[in-house]
Amino acid sequence: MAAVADRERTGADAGARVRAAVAEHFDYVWRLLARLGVPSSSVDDAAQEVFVVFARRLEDVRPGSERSFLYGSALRIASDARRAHARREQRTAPERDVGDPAPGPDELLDARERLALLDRILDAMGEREREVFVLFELEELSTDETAALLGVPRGTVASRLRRARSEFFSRAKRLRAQAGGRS
Amino acid sequence: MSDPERLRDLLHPGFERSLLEAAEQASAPPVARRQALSGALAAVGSFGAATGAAQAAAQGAHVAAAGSGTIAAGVIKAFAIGVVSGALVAGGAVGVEQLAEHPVAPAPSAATAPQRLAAPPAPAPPPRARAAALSPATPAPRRAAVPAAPSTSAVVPSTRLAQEVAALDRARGALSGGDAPRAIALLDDYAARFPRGALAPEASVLHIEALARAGDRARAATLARSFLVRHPGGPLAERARRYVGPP
Repeated sequence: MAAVADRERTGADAGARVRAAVAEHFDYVWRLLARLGVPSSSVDDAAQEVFVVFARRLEDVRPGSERSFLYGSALRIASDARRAHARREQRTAPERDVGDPAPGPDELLDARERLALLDRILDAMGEREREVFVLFELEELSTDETAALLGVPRGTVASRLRRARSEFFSRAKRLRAQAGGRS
Repeated sequence: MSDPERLRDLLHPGFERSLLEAAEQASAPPVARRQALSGALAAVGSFGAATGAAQAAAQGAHVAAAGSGTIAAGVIKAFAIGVVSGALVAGGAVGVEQLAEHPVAPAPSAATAPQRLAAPPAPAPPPRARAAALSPATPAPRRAAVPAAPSTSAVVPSTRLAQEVAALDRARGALSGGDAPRAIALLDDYAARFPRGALAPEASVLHIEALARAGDRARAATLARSFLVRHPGGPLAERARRYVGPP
């Protein structure tokens, strides 16, 4: 039956589109979620969730705008996860401050330690500053792309970015001083 | 208006810049994870053709998910319900079971696992950040850079989506069990609980199907036409189109 054949073809197209999106974007979505503060134990699940939403709303996603859709979902899911985590942290352990002892001088830091420090700085930022910082500085989206994803004007992106940068520098400076690093 | 320069480009080599660069070198997820997900999600394309085999597969996935014993299994289970009950490709179910049994399976070596899944030829050129990050010189994503966290502290990222999926599955179950009025009530409940739900389009089509099944073809046709205006393409539109009726 033609209708059945049509449906099967549509299904196959959708499957191919989902596979292509996973292949092209999964690693970036995963990394974005981690930098946005999803606890490392939950990043896998959160990334999965982003793509489940994508697959189920495939028809709402204009071809070519897959990345915007995925990043938008990631921002939302990261925000939920961060809040859930913060609630749990409040109940269980005192919040870890960026004032924790830092590792040694920077030439001794490996990539993993640097990443941990970066995450500590990001954790200390306000949520809005963090989102802009991650999207613009780390994911290297343009101001326009960042503004569109967050649903705010360019000027707001610029002012959040300024605050985020100043936060980044002051925290980094403190970490460096603690580590006794000179560079 | 031009964009500000990136910090990374402004800074001299040193501590601050090395922090920013660490993000780019950050590890990626295990390849196995991505592959399993890809296989499972690809099945979602065949919406609405649930068969006995698919139901059985879905049940298998539920069991596997429930047995995996971590908090994260909740999400995987929701994921399994969502994917498998909406679709019927057995390969999808297998992918889900693998995910459920090995929620944090380590990545196989890059030599044995293909880095990229069979995908159509690269569509659009990647943005510049990606071009840099995706250089072929770094084929194997390194997991080492992510500090391992105890699985006991796993956080369900968003129970909202899991609840949405569960709510729709209840409605779908009622409909396939022949209880269209109950399906309609469950879908009304879904719409009230999740006014801006991520799965609202799917809920709309289920609603249309339930109305038609309950005998209210006129209302089903009205809703189908309105759905098609908002969602003219895709598998859900295909399903809605069947209820539009004669113009």
